[in-house]
Amino acid sequence: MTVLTPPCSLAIAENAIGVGLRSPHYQQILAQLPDIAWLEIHSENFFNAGSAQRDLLDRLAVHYPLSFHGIGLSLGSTDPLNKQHLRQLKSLIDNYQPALVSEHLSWSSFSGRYFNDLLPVPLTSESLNVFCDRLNQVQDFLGRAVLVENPTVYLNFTQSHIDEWAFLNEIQRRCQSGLLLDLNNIYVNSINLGIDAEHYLQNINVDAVREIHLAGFTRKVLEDGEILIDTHGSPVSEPVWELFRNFRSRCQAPALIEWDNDIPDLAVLLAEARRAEREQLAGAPEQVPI
Amino acid sequence: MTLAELQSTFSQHLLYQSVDLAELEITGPFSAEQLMGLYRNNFYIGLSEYLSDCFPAVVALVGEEFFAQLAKAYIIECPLSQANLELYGQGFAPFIKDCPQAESLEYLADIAALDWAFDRAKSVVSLQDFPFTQLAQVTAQQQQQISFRLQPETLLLCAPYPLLKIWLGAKSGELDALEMKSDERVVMYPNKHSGVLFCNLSSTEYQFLQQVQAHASLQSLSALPDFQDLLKHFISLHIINDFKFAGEA
Repeated sequence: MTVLTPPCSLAIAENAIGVGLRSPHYQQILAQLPDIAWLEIHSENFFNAGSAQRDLLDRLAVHYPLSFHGIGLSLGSTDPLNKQHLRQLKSLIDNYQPALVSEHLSWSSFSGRYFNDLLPVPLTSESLNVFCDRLNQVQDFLGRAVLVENPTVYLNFTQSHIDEWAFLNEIQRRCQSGLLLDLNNIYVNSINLGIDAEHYLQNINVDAVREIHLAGFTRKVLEDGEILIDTHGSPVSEPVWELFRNFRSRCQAPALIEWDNDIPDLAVLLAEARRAEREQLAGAPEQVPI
Repeated sequence: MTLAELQSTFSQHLLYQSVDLAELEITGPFSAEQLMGLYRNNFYIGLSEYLSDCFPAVVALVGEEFFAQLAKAYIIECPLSQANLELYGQGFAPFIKDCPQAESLEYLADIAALDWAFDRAKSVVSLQDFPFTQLAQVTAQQQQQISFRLQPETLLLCAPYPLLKIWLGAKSGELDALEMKSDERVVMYPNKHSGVLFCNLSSTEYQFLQQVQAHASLQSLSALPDFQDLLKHFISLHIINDFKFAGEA
């Protein structure tokens, strides 16, 4: 088995299934140390070095490989990078040397105001230049590659003239970053905006994919129809499992169950992780007998 | 439209400022208003949920609907200035104090301050013990210039109503028959064993801790009634946990 070898104390193996670490499960995971291949945290929740969260992370880092998933760098914004945020992130990373560090293809701040959301980037040459410039600055400062996650978007901008998969591939080419592929986001976008999920997965640079996210969505009924919302508040849907099985035949990057809202008992989350292990066996590349 | 112009218009819409959405040239399964409404709802719901988690007694007192209005007004008036939400609730109690919508609930800002102090005190992990050894080395001449320090995240409040009883009652859902005219002084502080402790204070105790919080010198403190007993008492409770020389940060 090949093991990813970033500068970390605990690496994450190919095909390893992890779960997102969320506060309702902190104490149970710490007490029971369940069989989970790796844990992912939201970086911003662990910035405060004297906090209870950091104390917990100190203890869990001994037992589990870690991935740090950021939601606040606002890489798609025209604002200058928030240096304080970046310093806090670097300090966190330097402390734990996580196996993976990731952010989003999105923006969340403008003119110094933050919006606590992952807002859509128009897929234009200008956005690409802005995003790559900022990502390069971040990677230079952190001294390591960052994975960029494909977003859920609920609208298109007419000015967008680059396919999202091509936009992500170009970011990766220009910045030598990696990709975090969220299969639920691709599915949600395919239903809401009519993109072809299989075409997307065929064209994404699979060699650059270092992590996969699996999550659930919610159906929201509007006056004149229905839309899927990427709530991360329900089990992984059957169509997303199907995408996972198919994509697994080409990509063995570690995968993560993300559950952020209406967080269930840990047992339910772990059952989703077990299912991911079974599903990937069904999607594994055929072994050629020697 | 440049990226900066697009983000400016998008941001203004999220903050309920008047913009022409047609300028964004949005397409999708629903109208631009509906699609932008999804983003705006998500933004307010996310921050409102964070605030309601931080201020459970305020929610219990005013109900979810009124709290949502308060939260929305706060989000618009006091914008989030960093991605990390941890300290965003810090301005909520002062905001409530000046908020016309909450004018009739004179105690609400203090209840919010207690909620916030409770939340912050819970987050303190390592508490410093009082440095008795260092204090013993202080010369008699230096002694008069030292000032004491309260444990970080300690809150002192004085109110003309039964503040702690209202707060506890709101949290437990038992707010029956309170004598609203009885005033109260409260201290809330982080504790190694219990996470957070709080209690009522006499006016003498409150005055003493107020002076400590204001970094009054030992010389000034010694003029207060029961000075020595109070100092011992609050050091033993770990509410006072440090001392500094004059001019020392």
